[in-house]
Amino acid sequence: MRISNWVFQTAEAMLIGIMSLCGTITLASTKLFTSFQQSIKLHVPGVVSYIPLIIGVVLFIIGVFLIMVKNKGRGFFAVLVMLLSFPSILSFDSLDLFRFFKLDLIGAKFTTSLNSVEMTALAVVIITCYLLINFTSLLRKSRNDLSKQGADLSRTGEVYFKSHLVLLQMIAIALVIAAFIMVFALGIESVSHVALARLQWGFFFVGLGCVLLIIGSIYWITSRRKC
Amino acid sequence: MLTKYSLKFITIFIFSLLIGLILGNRIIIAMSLLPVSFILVGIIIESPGDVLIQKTWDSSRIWVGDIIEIKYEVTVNKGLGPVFLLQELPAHFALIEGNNLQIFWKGWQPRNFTFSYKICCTKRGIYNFLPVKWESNQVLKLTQPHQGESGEPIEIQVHPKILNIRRVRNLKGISSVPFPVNDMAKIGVATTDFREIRNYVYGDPIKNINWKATARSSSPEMWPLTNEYEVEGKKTVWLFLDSAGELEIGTNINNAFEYCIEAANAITYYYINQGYRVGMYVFNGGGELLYPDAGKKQFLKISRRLLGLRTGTRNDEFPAAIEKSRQYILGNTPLCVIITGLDSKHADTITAGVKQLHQMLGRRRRRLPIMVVNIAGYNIMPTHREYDENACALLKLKTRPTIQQLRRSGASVLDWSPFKESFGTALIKQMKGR
Repeated sequence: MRISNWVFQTAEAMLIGIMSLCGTITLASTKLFTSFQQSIKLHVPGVVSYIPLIIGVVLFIIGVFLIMVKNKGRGFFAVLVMLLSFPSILSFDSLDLFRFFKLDLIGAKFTTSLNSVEMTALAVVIITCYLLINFTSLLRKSRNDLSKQGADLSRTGEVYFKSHLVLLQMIAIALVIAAFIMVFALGIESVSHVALARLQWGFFFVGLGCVLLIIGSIYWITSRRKC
Repeated sequence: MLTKYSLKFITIFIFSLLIGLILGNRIIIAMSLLPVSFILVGIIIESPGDVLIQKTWDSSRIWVGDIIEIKYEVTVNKGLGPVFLLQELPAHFALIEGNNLQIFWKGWQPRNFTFSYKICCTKRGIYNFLPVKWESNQVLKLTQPHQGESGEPIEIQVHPKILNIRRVRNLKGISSVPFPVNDMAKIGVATTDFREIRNYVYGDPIKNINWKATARSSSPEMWPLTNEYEVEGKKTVWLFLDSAGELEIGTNINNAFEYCIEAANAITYYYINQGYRVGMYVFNGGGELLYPDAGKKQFLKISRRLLGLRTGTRNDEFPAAIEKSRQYILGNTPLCVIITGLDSKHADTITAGVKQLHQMLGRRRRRLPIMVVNIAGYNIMPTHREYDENACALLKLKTRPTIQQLRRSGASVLDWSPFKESFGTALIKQMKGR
């Protein structure tokens, strides 16, 4: 089965749109943004309600230009979206770094009107879209290379389409695995919360242990696959 | 082995996990889990492997200009993802239909896949088809691709075209070459075909004496009579093939040298089919002699030699070639066919050689059995402008004195322009109407 190129391009544009939307929502829901809006309202009262829309559209245009026109800068666009989301994401920190280091730069801790489930969902959507955009571009590049080499277009189209199907399946499986790990980790946390709370720096040491464990398992898998 | 894409996502994971852990932020930790889960799923999915390829093609004799179809049966037993196949075509093969670069999708189940393409053999030679190269990628290029080769290498022999030469039976005329079709050889290996009974001469084998005929003879001398048998083959044709580098006028595929080879092949085929003994000497390429012999085996021998023939750097070897073939020329009095191009500055060596042949075969007033086939190089290159055509005409005029000199020496000259007429037509033109 072969699907026209415009379908994939539309899908790519939609992914950029979703990322831009998520970035805008997370930014607009912060207290920081609200205070920024109020300061703008004093000077230009009519524009205030359109600011999130303007930010979203600008972000979308940047994304389309970088990813679809220039075919590079996917990472830059993702970082841009993440920067917009950071004030919201950081509001869910367990550790109050500002108070810890006695840095009261912006007067208050980051706060957002989104609850943790909504914020997690938005963050996961952003990273999922980033993965999809990344691999869609990679597959498109492979297809263009093959076309240049003179491969059969119908077969290339079939491979391109099926690769996208596998990409979607892999993303779905990865989401399930990530959700499972998260639920499992939360379960462990709730069980060991009391014990860990007694330890100063407990989270850090346990977290570092987890990181080393995961790095070790990745190394083990990859080194095994070498042979 | 992981690719840069995998390493990028592992870096993202480690970086975001560390930030998440330092800040104690569950959302960042949750975000970091997705790329690593994705990589792990990708690594578990193996790229296609265990590729078996079978090549089938029509293995009958292949001639220049033939179109052959090569079919492939591919089986991939494991893995998931795209598989690329590439059959590198040797030089001088043109792809007519299909594609020698193939890509197909290997799903979860083992897959059989067939494809074919048609190629045209544009130049004679021995070509080697290497095994098919395959490469399989992990579906999202998270691991390094697998590469390999499958199938046996194949050697293909592309034979030069046999130009259409045939006897014209209903056209009355006199051949310019004094070499009748039914000229029989006087010496050679005796066959079992009875020719005549004659008187015994010293040296005749005893087994050939016809005792019954001797007893019946009424001669008072009682001289034994012997059976005489036909000798093997008819007269001998001796080819002198020019392989000078100067003959490579034209493209890599269409040049005067290739036409020389086609003409040599055609002449060999024709005379061998008529029962003649054919020998060959390739000059200007270091010199190579093929002894005269009759039969299909000899044709195959000459044809195989013509397959791998390359041009040489010399251009003055013709008189030396005649010296080296002297014993065969004197012994058999063959029809000497010299295939060359007379439009080079070294054409005088051909004239000198023909004079040498005249001295060997001459001492008689009638025409000599020498035929010079001149492959006109000036018509091979396509003409783009009026000046090109004029240049061709000038070159033709320049060649004319050499041709006249050769004709005066007693040789017949066949001037063949491959792009203008067939070899058969050029041969008919040689005949003089009665």
